[in-house]
Amino acid sequence: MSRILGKVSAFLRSSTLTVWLLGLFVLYYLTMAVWMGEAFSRYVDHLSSNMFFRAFFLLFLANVVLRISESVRKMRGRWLLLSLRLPLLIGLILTLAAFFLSLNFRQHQWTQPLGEGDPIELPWEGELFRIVKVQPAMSKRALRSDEAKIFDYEPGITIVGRDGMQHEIGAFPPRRVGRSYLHVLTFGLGPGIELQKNGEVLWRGYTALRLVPFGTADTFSIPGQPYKFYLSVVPTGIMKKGRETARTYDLERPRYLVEIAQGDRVLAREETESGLSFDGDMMISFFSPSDWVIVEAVRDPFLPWFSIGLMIVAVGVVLYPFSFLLRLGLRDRGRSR
Amino acid sequence: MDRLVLEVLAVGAKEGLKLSFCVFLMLSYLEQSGRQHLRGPLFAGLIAVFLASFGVMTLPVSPEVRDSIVRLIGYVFGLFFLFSIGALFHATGTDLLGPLARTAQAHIVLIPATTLLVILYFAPDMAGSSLFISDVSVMAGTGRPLFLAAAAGFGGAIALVYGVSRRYRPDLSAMIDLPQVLIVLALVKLVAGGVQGFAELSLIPSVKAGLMKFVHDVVHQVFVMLLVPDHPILAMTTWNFIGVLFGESAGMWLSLILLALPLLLFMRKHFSAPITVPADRQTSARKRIWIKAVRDLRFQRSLPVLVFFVFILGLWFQQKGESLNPLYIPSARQVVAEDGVVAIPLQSPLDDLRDGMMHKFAVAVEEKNIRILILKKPDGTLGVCLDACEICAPDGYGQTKEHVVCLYCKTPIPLASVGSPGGCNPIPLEPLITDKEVRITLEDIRKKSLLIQSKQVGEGQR
Repeated sequence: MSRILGKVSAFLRSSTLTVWLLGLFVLYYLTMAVWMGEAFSRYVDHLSSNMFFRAFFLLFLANVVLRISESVRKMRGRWLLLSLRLPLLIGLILTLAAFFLSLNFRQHQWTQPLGEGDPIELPWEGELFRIVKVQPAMSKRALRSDEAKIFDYEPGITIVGRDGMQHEIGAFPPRRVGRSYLHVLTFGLGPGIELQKNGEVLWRGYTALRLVPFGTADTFSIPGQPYKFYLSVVPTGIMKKGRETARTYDLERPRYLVEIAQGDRVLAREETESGLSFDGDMMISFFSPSDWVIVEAVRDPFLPWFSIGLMIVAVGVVLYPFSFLLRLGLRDRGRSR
Repeated sequence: MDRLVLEVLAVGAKEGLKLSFCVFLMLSYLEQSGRQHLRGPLFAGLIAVFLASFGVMTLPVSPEVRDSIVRLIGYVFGLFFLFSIGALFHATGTDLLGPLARTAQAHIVLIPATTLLVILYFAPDMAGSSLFISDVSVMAGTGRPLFLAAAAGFGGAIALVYGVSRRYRPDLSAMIDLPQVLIVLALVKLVAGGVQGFAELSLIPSVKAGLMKFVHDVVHQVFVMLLVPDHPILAMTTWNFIGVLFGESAGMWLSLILLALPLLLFMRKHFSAPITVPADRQTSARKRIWIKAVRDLRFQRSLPVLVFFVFILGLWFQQKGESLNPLYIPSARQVVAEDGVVAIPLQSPLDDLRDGMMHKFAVAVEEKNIRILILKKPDGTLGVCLDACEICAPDGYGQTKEHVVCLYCKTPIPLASVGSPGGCNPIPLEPLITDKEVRITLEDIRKKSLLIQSKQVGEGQR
């Protein structure tokens, strides 16, 4: 029995197994990349859903752990060498293990576009948060040249839980709230819209649209109405200085290019800040837009380990090469003796 | 000399050189390893390769088969590189076969394996180049001189290698064992595996792009795990710090490491392995002679690996700082027509037609796949054309910073001219561009595509 166990253990920690497993991964990746496309994302999907791929990865992890522990054992007593090499080795194990566990145990949610006052409900948390403030990613008087960045600032939100505790959530790094990590994934503008017929308000509210970068057109419909509205933000002014051109945008009162269609028929097309009439007695008007965000929330107990593992790997990558110098130095000293 | 004749002559010579050099290398290996009985299977494989090449020149070949041939070349390079790395590690003490080692040496395994590997290695390149030559001859309308030129190049190259090998009788036995043969074969494939004539002589750009894609995907996955949002909303300082990993330089270096690391590990193992002196070498002088002989042999055996390594390193350094692929050639995305109209959204999760990059789409018209290209011109309007012109073979277009470039004749066309008819300009279509989508009628595509086909059949274009 012990002989069999010994053989299994020898096989698990063999370099033969490492070469075979890496070779099989390369073969899989190559085959997928050439014949199917998107090889790595397929592999990651399989890793979180397919038992065969999980077993393959765990076998590789076991092989790496055993080989590393054996090489650490060999370095016992040579503390300087060990301290130069250990960070990379430990970091690799930690990163690989946390990567696998994260993929398989992470609970994940992307919210709908949310604005001030909207709730965020996390099913695994049993807690309801409310957004009390959205910090926009653009200044209200935005200036854009051809090379300009899309946003001016990193957006953020302030949320409050049932206990009244406030939490500031930014884009990166994610913020831990309870057992979850939250961050702002993306940001956009929600124009304030009022639709009237003969002066009677049919609908009023905000519509989350993708209008950034400016010039991007997005579309929306209003429930119960046969119209389709196309909207994009156009500059309120253009400034030229030499060969540079810059456009200004007033985001308190944006200027929109509006096109309204019913079926294949275009009813109206106009640039406006306030609103326009169409189809006889209909009128659409705009009021100050609201900011919206999409929040990504995860419950992942292994995320900190993954981050720590990566940091240790980064340190290890710097330290490890010095161990070769150290060995060369030791060898030279041995020879001179 | 006519450019087409020169091109097919060069293609023929390249294939002839590749084939004769690789066969010479294989025969040398078989001889020095005492496996002359595998010569027959080797030549049987070569006959199959010639038949396949003849077949693709004489039988109709579907676009799918053409595509598969091109993909197979890259795939075979990857396979041979992988096999060579495995063989290198096996040769330096990592027993990869274990109890299967004896079976792997059996005739019943070696004979079919040799034939299959020869077919796998040579058939895609030979078939791809044969297809290229037959395409060029169809386009030129005068096939015979071109076929003769290609045959002359092919035969001349083989005669040259044969003559050199007979005259100088190079002895490669000290340098080559199975791993070295495999790595040289992989290197030959990498350097001369292209089958698009002068436009694509080697596989290097696609291998590099493939490796960089892997690095990019790994970095992207790490960012997803760490909950890094879309970079436009990250504060500049944060992105400056972590965005380095997404940059082209990081991709280049990491992909170089991926390709070179197994070779470096082999070299380390190869040179650091202990030398066992046989017991019958009693005196220290004889021991030293033995050790020196082993070291020399190790050095000679490492030469092919060293050449591969230096070559890769040189290429990476030579192209460092340049754009990865100066000619941007997107692959065509298949779209379908509804009620006789192809509608392509201006913006979708897959594409933004106004991002300044070339976008290609393919649509089936009367059982043929017709490619369409769309790109934003400097005046902000969209150019919508067929991915072909009226005068060249319909190879399509690539994009540089300020031009689209005909892949066939390499004519650069200013972006502003896209959408204008005539010359080597892409054939313009008459789309209806709404705020949401580009709408093109199938009838328009069909009518304009006849302009390409009618030229292909008869008239001399050049």
